[in-house]
Amino acid sequence: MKMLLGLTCLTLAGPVLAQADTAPPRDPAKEFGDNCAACHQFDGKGIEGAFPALAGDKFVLGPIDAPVRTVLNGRGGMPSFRADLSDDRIAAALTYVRSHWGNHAPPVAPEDVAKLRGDAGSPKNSGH
Amino acid sequence: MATLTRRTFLEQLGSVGGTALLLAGMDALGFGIGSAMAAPPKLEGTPRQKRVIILGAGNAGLAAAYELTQAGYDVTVLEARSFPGGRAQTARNGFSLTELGGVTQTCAFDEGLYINHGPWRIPYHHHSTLHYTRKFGVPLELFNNDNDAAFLLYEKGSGALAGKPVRKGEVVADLLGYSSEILAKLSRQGALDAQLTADEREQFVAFLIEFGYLSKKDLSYTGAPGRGFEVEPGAGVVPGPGKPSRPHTLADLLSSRIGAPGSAMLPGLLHSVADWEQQRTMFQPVNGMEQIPKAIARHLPDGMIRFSTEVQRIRQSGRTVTINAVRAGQPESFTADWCICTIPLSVLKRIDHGLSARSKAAMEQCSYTPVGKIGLQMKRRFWEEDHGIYGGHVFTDNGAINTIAMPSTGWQGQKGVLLGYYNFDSDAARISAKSPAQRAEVAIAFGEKIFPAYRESYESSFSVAWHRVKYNLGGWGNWSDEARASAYPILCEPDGRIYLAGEHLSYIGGWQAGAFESAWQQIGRLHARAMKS
Repeated sequence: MKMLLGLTCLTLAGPVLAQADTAPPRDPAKEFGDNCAACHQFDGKGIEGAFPALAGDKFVLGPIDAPVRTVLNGRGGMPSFRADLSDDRIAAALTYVRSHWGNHAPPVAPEDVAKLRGDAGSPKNSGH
Repeated sequence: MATLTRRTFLEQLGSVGGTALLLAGMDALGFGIGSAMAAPPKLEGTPRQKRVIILGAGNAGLAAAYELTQAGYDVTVLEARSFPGGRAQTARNGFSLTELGGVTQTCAFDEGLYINHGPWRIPYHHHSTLHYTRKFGVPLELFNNDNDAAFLLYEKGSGALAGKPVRKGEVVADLLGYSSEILAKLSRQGALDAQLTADEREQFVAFLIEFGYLSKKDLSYTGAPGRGFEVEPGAGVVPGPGKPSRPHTLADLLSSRIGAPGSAMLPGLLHSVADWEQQRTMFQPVNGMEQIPKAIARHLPDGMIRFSTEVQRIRQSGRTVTINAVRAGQPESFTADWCICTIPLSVLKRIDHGLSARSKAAMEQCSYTPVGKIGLQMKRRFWEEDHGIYGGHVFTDNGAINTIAMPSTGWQGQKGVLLGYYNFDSDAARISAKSPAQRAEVAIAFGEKIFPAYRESYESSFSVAWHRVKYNLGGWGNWSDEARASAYPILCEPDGRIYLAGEHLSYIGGWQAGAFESAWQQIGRLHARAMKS
């Protein structure tokens, strides 16, 4: 089993872990709640002057590449989730955002995230 | 007749010019004690245009206000909070904080207990911070930043040590012991003969024997007293010499991934020498970090800081700067010749600041780090009583926790406040979505894996998520290498009559010294310009 895992990893181009076919589907509400809601709020309205609203936001509802890149790389006060969230979890969170609070945009698939992820990792912050 | 040696020269320099000149002289002579500024700039003469408005009464704003006042400037400081210090806060009984989108937490620690939930330690080479503690007589105590007796808990590896608390001293002794053994044996076998002469090889092996506690006989590493004993030495015949401890195997150490890249804080302390920012010798003010800004604020004229005053709009003409602010619902307006703006860029960019398009674009290049901390009041100092750990950090590869820090104060008292986690970035975002009670539970559920008494000793918590704090929106500014090269230098230059200052405009980001030295640099430049105008 250990051997098999080793071989699987060798066949992958990047450091991204393979999503096994049997992996349970992610819960979009949980992924959003765990990773996004602290700032964007559970109602998707954000906080004026601090955190942008996701409800009705053109950027969020537009072509998927831009929001996927933002989650992967971070922007302004938003951290990069590249190192901590797998493709299927990022896809689930974005799918939730694009289909709640009156938002109606197509879902995001793990493959959509995978093709933009690339190999570069973001450096970890260290304490001060 | 003594010749003028470097030492006598420095002694004379010190007696004439005081510490600051002495430090500068030592740097110039190559003692290399630090590139940081040792003292504020000398602001000689009083300019005609001497009205300065300072935005923010954090450490940068306070230092600028103090130094400019001393030089004869007419200073006003606007501060959104009701107290000075900015992020240099201390949570103690009654301290209240409401995060954006969160509930209000009021600290319920016992009298005398506190957590520095902002900056919490001062490396010995942060001359500027130490300049103000010395100048204003803020008592310091040592902050134990590296404790060999503290535990490491790494759960992501495999083998006998994964998921098991191990003392840091054991790990360091064994990893460096085995490394020394391998190098010494290879050297003796001739593997380094191309690099070293026979003499050098023996010197090198001799060094490795000392460094790694190797056997002189066969160069093997079989443990070292410093990693601890199975039975500690004592009196008489029993325990007498005690019983030595046995090292972990190299295979177990490596497969455990202890100290592997990716753990946020440990590597700085597992290097050959402590990382520059993670010195073993650090300080903290007695009774909380807030003592530093409070001391500076006490030395400003009464009423100079206008508290609870929120900046709404910044405008400048070629000759003046005008600030519109709101205090208790009432609009106020201030006009000055110059402005020093220490508002974090994360907040400033959301204010109607009127700065140039160039400055505005540069500001967008600075990201602010989400940061979370939690203080846990424990009714018993079990880390001291049960484990002999006095200060220092437990390190982990769990990003939600990163470190548990034992307090460097109140030794052997009854109660104490631990830092239960110190998280960043996406981990901080995740943990900050939780209620204060849920955050405490995250900390306790991890801490009890190391300390059996953790949960039963817990009494109350106080947590902060700096990205959700209204006047900060992040722990500290972050520059990518690209932004450092392109955007950062733009913001270091004045925008008309407005000078930006703060930790975000330094290479000592996230430290108080960055705020002080940025302020010193900007007031020096402002003064030079004001004297010409």
